[in-house]
Amino acid sequence: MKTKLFTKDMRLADLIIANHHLLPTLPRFGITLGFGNRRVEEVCQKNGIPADFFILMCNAYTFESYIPYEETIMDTDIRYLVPFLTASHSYYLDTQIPHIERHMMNIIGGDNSNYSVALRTFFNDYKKDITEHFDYEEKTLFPYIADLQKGKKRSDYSIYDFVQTHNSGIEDKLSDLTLILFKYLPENKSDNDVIDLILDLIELTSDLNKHAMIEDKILVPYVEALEKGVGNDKL
Amino acid sequence: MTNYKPKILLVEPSRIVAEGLSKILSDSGLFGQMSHLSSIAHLDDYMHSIHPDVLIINPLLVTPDKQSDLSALQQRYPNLKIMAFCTQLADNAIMSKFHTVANIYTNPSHLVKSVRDITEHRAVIQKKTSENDVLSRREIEILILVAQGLMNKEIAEKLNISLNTVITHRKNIIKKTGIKSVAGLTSYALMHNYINIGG
Repeated sequence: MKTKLFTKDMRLADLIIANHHLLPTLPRFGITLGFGNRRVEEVCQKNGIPADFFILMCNAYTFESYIPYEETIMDTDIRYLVPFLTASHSYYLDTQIPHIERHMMNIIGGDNSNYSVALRTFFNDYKKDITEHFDYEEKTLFPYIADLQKGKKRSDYSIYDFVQTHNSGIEDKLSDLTLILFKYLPENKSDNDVIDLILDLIELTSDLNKHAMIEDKILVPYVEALEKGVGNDKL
Repeated sequence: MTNYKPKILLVEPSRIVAEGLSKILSDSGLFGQMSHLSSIAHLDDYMHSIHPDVLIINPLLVTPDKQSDLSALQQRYPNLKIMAFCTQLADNAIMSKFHTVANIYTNPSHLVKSVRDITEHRAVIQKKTSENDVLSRREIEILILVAQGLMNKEIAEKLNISLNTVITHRKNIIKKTGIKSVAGLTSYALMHNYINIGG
């Protein structure tokens, strides 16, 4: 089955209809709603985002099997990638995770029963992991990339150091939490609230998976190419 | 029985699939006459004139109103073996009516073997027993030690069992609970009162 990738002459609204998961990413690109029937190219221009970059990201976000060519990545204005990733981090840490935490606290309450303590501990543990992971990216990886973009290559670090940290099982924790909530939470709680919470968790899981995919499909090959370029003094 | 080659009747709407199946089965040299029907409409007539030993049928053709026909067929021909050959996902409820099941991704040699097995009264669909999802006492013991933060090696030493045994138990715990992370298992243990707050 052949899937047609998105192109910049399509209407932005049609992209969102095709994949509604793109909707929460718009603010991270700095794109505001109310774009009417305007095409991607126009909307991007109005918001100061390179359309090629936006389309590359939308395609990677939407089509699981899409792996962009290295040339496509290198031909794309990728300056906005790190800001996009940083904006995503803030969205997770400042908006989505606190929202889920409030929601969860409403359901399980703050008492000292075993399951309440278990879930609170688990959630805090998860929050700590993900905060550390984002912190590492923002304090180590992103400055490293900024240096590469300026033509400076550090000898004590490479993108492989990042790749190795990238499968540390943080995703397992989130899926475990989802599972515990719908399989093992005691029966006497309001199910609709629990289901709302689970749907939020599933949405967050999917968003985080896409986030990791963007890093694997676009960020890593981009930095690899930069590393080669800087090594060869070709930049 | 050794020289007898079972006759097969194939009921499959797709000619491509039917011809592929026929070729695979006749190439094996294990089966006799092979007949093909593209719909269920004249099945009774064919059954009567051919007397096949094996009926291979696409379950998509067995629509809910046809299910009783299949049962009636089985009653009339008690020795008939029926294989479902799926080209799409099919309802489990229907699948229980067949002696065995294969699909378009089945390895050809496995397909031949399954057909042979049912004619020799061997394999019958394995009924899925409801999996025993309750943790065993040993597994609970290990779950508690995992929740207390012990590593596999420490657990092995403490319980005086091999590292491999610990790993097997841990795999089973994951399979039964669905929970993969240590933090998740700790929560599970806490929620089920296997451990108390603070250890």
